[in-house]
Amino acid sequence: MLAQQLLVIAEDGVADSAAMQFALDVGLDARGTTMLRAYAVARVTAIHDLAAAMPEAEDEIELYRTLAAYWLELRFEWQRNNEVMNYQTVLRGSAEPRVIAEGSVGSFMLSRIETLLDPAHLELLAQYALELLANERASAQLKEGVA
Amino acid sequence: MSFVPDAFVSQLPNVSRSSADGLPFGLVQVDDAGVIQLYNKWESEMAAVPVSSAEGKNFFTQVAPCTNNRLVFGKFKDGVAKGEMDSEFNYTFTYKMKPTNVQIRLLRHAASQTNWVLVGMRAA
Repeated sequence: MLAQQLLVIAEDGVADSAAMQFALDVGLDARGTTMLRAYAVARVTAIHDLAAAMPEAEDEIELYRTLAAYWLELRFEWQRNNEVMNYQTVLRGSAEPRVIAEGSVGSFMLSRIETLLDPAHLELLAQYALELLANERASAQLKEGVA
Repeated sequence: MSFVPDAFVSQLPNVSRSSADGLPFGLVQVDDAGVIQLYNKWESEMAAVPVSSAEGKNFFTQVAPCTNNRLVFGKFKDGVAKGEMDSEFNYTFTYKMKPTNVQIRLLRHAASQTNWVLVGMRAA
């Protein structure tokens, strides 16, 4: 059952260990590490909430659909962190470690969720995310009169 | 000073797959749209993306979506449009990998009209 599989990928210790490793990788201090672990826990809790809300077999399609929506949510969150860290990197020479670590946690959670999504469906989701942002860029350029 | 030796840059269009796979940095050849023609071993291992999965896909939008922005893909498209490109800058990868500080060099080899993305590690 998908709800049970969700509980496996959202095992608290795995996300927490990953967060602690990312904190070490980027050199976060104790307070930063605590905040990053809370950031990871919040994303794991969202998965627990999904599994708890839709545990029945008859809800499985709805649960899958909502999990796909959560993948998109995390993908766009990762995208935002990616833009912030790389504009910081390019313009200032280095990125804020907190942003890098949060991007890594987001990417880690995306990978966990992807194990439960159909690869063909996942490709469509990624394409959708890509097109949505490309359309936004095109709209913004039109608004600004950029060719 | 670039992580890519000048002598190597001049030989770029003729690099073989085996010599590309022996390089201590990432080497990706892409067409004018960004579709991967060659993806070397170093890049494959660093990104944990098998060569067979990467080649034929768009580098900027499908394989390395962290580069799908004005900083990298925009710069690439500008370079292709102008017919010249040689830009090196710091970047940070987090997508499907641990936080990784890199240098990226975007190159267009004018004579052969080939495009190259080179990726090297950098200290934080």
